Amino acid sequence: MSWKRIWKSVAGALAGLAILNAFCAVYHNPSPYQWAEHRATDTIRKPLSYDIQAKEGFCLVQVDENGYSNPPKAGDEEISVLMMGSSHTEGFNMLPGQIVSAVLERELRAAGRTGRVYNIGVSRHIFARNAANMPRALARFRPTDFVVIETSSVVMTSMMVWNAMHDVYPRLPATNIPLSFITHQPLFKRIYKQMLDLLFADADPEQEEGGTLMQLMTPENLELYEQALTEWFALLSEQARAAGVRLIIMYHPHLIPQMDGSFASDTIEPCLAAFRSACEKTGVIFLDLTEAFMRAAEDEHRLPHGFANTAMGIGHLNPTGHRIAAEELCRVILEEEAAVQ
Amino acid sequence: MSFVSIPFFVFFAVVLILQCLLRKPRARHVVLLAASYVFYGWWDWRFCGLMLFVTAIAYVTALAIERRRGDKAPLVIGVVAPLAALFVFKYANFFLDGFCALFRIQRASALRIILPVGISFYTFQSLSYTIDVYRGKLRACRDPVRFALYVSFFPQLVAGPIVKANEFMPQLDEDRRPTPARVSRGLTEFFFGAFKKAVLADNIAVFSDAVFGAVGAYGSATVALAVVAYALQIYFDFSGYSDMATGAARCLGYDLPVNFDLPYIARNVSEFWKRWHISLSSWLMQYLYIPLGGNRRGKVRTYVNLMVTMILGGLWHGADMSFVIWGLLHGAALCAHKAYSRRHPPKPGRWRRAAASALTVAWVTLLWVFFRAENMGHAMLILRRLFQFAPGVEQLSVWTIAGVALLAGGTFWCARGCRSQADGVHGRLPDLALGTFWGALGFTLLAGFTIILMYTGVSPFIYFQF
Repeated sequence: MSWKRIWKSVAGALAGLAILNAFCAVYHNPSPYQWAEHRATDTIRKPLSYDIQAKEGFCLVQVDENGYSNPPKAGDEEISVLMMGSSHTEGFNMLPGQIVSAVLERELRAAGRTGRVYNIGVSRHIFARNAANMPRALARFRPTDFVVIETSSVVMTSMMVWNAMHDVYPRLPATNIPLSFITHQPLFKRIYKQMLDLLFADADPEQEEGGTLMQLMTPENLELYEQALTEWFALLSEQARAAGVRLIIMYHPHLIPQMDGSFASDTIEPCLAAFRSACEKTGVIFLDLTEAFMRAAEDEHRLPHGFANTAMGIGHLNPTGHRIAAEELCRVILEEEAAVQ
Repeated sequence: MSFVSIPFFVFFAVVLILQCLLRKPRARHVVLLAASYVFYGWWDWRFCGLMLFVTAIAYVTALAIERRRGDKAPLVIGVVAPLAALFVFKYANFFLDGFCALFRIQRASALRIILPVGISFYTFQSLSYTIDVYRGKLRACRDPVRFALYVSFFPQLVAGPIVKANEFMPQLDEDRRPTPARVSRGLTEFFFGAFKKAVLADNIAVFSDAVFGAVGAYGSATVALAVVAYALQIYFDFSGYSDMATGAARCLGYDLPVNFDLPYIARNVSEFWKRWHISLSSWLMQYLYIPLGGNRRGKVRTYVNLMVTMILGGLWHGADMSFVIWGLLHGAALCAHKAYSRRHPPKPGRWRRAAASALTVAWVTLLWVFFRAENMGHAMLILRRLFQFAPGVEQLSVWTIAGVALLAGGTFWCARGCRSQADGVHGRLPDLALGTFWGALGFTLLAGFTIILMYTGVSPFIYFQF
């Protein structure tokens, strides 16, 4: 093969890579994770960057100055509700105005309430990790009324509870290590993500860590489970009270369509009962979205998870799920405030 | 070991390098044979024993047929033994269930038999070899390595194309090895197939599997879209595998027959079967339909032969009544077309042709419901839901729409080239010669889009189960 042909071949390949890179910039170009020095969350997104994702749903989100998924700050209005959670709360499958925090803020303003709803949800932050970070998040953002922690699972392992209560969770890795120019290219990021997904196709940290508990679910163990949750939630409730806010745990199960046309949630009922009971005993407000999701599925034929480029009932919360979550949160917040007054 | 997996890429790279390095054809054959057994044993090493059994039976009986001309005993053994193995592993439970249902016998439990991957494919290959030797079309192969390689050649081992001995064994007599041109062409075909399978079929499957898995919850429009999605999924999945098999074989120096030729532009069901899974259609034609008498014994017998061939073709795909019904309805459509075309010779006209194609594709798509359904009850539920116009969850599947657009665009582009070329769709695949600017650009885009857009969950090839 002559040098001329080799050069032509290399030039063609480089031109192809440039086109692919441009495509990835609008198809999947997540803002990189950085470690959050304040530890309100383990990681944040690169501040004032954009996040584009069209693999599941479609999003074009502007990351705010703190590295979270919020619209640009308007004035110095104080934060009334702080939302913590995983990729569901972060809403990186949604357009900015559709995310639960944005919808909730609109709903609360329509009801005559002032104050911002500030979203510090970040992908990979499961419930226990957020619970561990909560005191620092409250100190950092100083919400005035409520802190909400979202979870899609009510199954917690003893390791999760221990790590959260003693604040010894190993920190999540960040990907902003300045290796080279190449690692910041959309194409590289996409290929890296695809390779990780290929290698760890079914890894769901929340479900995986909870999986072992399922096999040990005996009445005795469930009693111990509820005791552990009660102790843990009492600590969380106390931490929230010390910061002058009330804690809301928002649980959103997946609804799975069934062959006969009905819908079943993926909730593990005994664990949900333990969760609910522990919340009641400790003054934590527990918002279970199962019924609201079920109503939407049966009456409106709308499911809270899934997108047009995936399948209904799987994956992340979709616009319907975010809307329902916001409406239910708004209802609970207004009811709580009415009860206090 | 799936074609779209990291272990396969490593495995294939090692085999390809060894094929390039080895000088003697015999050594290359031995390495390919060993690689084929490693590839097959990757699923379950016990499967190799069954393949070895089928290979040994065909090898020995073919030699006996040639030695004892006129004696039918070796032929009977050569045909019955592999079919018996296929029957036991694939159909035992189906027929036992049928027998028990007929005589109202309560079965304690089903036989726990694992279905070996690709058993139907290599059984049919060995049968074609035995029958061809009996018919005198082929000399019995005396070299056990070469014959075993014909049966087990890993690119087409588990999901075809079904390669007849007279198509493949002569290639083993030649000094075939990887060349830059062949590798370039083979990789293009491989990634073209990988794009169809890993990007289109697998992403569409996420939607269609969800709908068929809970069909009662979805509205009629979504069920209809899921039926279309499955028609696309099975085409992209199976033709994608065939392209990958052809491409991998070409890299190693061998040519496999074309298995798909724009099936969804067929103007009637008869033409559809000349374009869809061509290697199976031609196998059934040569080794079943024609021996039954074909169309040489009158109208009624022709229709009976067509029905028998299609029902057995349906049963080849799987041991369930839904496959039998699928084959039966295709057979009925073939009979109807034969009867119609005897009285009404085809008339020219673009719109007439387009209407005929639309009608054919609609019929074929509807019949895929039986193919996809888990059983007859499930098939009937899907059809009821489809025509009930009942409300339910509705979803517009972006990947299905993209698949329809790509298939329509690609088919139109290929069909235009068809007028001047006699060969199949493979002949019109752009030759992305890696030594040119445009070739390297095209190949980078093809491979790159496959990696970027591929579905990364678990998604086996549909035809592996057959």
